[in-house]
Amino acid sequence: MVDETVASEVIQENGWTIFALTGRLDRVTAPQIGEQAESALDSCAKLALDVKHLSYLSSAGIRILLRLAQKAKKEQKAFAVCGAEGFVKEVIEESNMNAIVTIYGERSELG
Amino acid sequence: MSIERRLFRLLLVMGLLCFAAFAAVSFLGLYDVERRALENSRDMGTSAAEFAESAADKQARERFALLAKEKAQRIERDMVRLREDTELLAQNMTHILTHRELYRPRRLPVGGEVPIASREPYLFFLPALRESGQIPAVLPDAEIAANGADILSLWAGSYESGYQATCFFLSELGYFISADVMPDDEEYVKFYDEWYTPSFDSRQRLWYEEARDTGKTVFTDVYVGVEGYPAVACIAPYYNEKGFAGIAGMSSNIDSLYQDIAKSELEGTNINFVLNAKGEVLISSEKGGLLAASETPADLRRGQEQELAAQAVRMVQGDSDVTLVTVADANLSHHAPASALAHPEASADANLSHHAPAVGASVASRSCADTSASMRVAALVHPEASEDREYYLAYAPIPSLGWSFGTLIEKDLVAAPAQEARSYLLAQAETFGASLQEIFFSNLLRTAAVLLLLLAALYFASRRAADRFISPILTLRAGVRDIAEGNLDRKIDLRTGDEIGELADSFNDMTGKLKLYIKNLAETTAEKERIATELDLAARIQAGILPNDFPAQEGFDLFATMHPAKEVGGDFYDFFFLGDTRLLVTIGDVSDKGVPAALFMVRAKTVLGSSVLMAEKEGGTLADAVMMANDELCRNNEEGLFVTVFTAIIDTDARKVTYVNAGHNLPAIVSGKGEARCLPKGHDPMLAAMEGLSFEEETCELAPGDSLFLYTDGVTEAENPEEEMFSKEKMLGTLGKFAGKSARSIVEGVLAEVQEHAAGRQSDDITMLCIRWREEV
Repeated sequence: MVDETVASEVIQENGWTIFALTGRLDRVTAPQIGEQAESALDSCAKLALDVKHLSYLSSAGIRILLRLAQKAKKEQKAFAVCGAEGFVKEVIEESNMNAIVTIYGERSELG
Repeated sequence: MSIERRLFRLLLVMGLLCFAAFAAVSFLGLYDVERRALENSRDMGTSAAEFAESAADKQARERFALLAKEKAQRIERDMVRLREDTELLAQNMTHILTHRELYRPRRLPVGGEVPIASREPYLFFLPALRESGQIPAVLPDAEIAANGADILSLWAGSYESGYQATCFFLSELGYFISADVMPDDEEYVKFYDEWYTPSFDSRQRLWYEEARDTGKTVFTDVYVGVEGYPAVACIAPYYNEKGFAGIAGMSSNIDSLYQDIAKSELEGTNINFVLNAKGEVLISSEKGGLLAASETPADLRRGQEQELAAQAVRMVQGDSDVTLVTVADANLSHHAPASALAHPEASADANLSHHAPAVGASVASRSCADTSASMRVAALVHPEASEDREYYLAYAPIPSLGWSFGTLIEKDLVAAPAQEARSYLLAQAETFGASLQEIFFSNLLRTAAVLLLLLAALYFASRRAADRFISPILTLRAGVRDIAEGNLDRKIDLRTGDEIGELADSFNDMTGKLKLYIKNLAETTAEKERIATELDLAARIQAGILPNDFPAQEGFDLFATMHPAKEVGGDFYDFFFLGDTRLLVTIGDVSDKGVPAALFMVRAKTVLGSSVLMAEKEGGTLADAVMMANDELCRNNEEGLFVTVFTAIIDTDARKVTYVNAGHNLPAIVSGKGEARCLPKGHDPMLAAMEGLSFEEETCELAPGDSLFLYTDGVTEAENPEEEMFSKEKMLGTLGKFAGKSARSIVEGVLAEVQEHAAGRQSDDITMLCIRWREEV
């Protein structure tokens, strides 16, 4: 059920550890992705979530993004979200997260 | 098929296989024993038969050798005695004639002139002497020679009566002195007419000449006397001071010898014969065939029977042996009785006819009949088809005569008892085999019967074993059924000590655990109910927290609703008047649902409300109030919850809205004409996410008839079963439809549409707040 609704692929690119997410990031799938991403952040300096192929992002998903951002800030690491499109982009914009989380348009824009 | 049946079959099949193997082994064993015993008994029969045959052969050879030897010895003995007697006569006469001074002349009755009694010595003058008139000249010599009469009568007296015999001296001078034994002692000696014919001169006989010329004792060939008895005569020369003076002779009846030879030792199956030095058959038990005595004797050594001829050579050489010869059956004709030889019809032998007249009247009489034929004429071949047969030939020499005695017997006749023994033994072996077979079959039958009994026993034993094996399973099944029907107190009592027992124990264990589980479940359910009750209570309390005294004034009306996805939700709304016309409205959405969200929502609502009030009191702006609230909410937020908030202070008269949008969905504005749109500005981050953030105020003014519609994402993100969201567009469309209606109508209308869209599902809290300004008249 969990695996059916979200899938993540870990890519190392340009110094970043990138979680490319596919599917829905909601209250059901968020805890799992959150744990994976948090443990990934423990072992890398730059973590990004590529949400290009994410079809849904709920407030629970937003919460994950915020928690990761807080953790990165505390540990002085980099955390970013990239590739948001459509609904997900809307949600991100509406939640006005850009003050808290670094948002990039495309994965290639990661610096 | 039930396990019992399967088990039963398995046991039965296994048993049957064992039995089959056992049966096969015992059958094969029995069969083997039978076959071997049969073979052995046959072998034994055959070898015993062979042994019997070879033993018979050996015995036959020994027996025949002995027979031949005995017969030859007997003939030899008789002939030696005859020769000795004859030689004694000759010596006696030689002594008389060479010692005349010791003897006085003696007168003997003259044969033919006076009757001569049997055994009485007499004198006879040969016709030649009588004719020459020299009788007076030879008389003195004869009168001296007459002194031999005593020994003659002595010799003649030793002959038993019943046969013709004679002892005599035949002088070179032409007289002979003889003592004749007549078959009947009362009879007188017969003088035949022939004896008076000039041709009658015994001195011209071959045997006379032979004895005279060689000076040796000679035997005549066998001849048959006038009485029909076969006889042989022995002749020995005697001498006077000048030399050869005559011969002494004795004729001996050899009838008993004949009888002996002709006697069938082996039930008339054997042929006895005597061969002389010329290879001729002299005496035989046969009337016909090669081995019969013939008037015209043939040399057997030159006969057509090769093997017989070869043996005849050895016989004449004086060898003795027992050997097998093959002779054509037709050449033997040994079946005729040999006694025929001894019958009186037979006439004198041709050879004898030459000398018999010279011997005496009785002998001469025989020569009359000598024209009539031989001893045995029928030396002819049997008309039947000739067949080669094997014969034993045993022979032994009669040295004094230079003869050989032979006996011939058909091998098959000798072998017959052995053959009989053989067939008897073989029959015995067969009988043994048959009885063995009988034993074999009866054993087989017994074995089969035992097997059948065992089979029956196996059947019942298998059934019983299957029963015994299956009964715990049946008990188990009954117990399990009982348990399945809900009797969890049922304990299955099976102490078989095997897997089934373990299974029963497992079932008992399971029942126990099931009971415990049910108990736990009941407890859990009770607990859940309690929690549910509490949650219900909490929900009511939460509902109580949210204001429901909706203002409805001349210029505007307000309505709000909150539908948590769970019992308690994370959404909230709030409104209260800060002054107569200054209305604070807030809508918030905590980033979670359930109890934690509900608690945080209460906190957020309270903090936000009190922050606004504090800012009012201290002359701060709405943005200041939000900033304060954010900092406050960030404190002790270990769970990392956050809340999106839209809060506004509305001048209800001026329809001027001053707001801060902290990460929330921008509210919609619906005109009285049905145009719906979202507020364009307001992009601050959500609260409780990060401390120390600052927020910006935005303002907008509404027209009469407009409605301000606040909502949470539970509205726009409500999904239908196809996972399609209700969406902002659809929401705006719905709002357009309800333009001009009361705030309550708008809220309830949107809710109805959302619920219809979600078709009974709700994944997020749904919260709406609407303020509608009336159209000015």
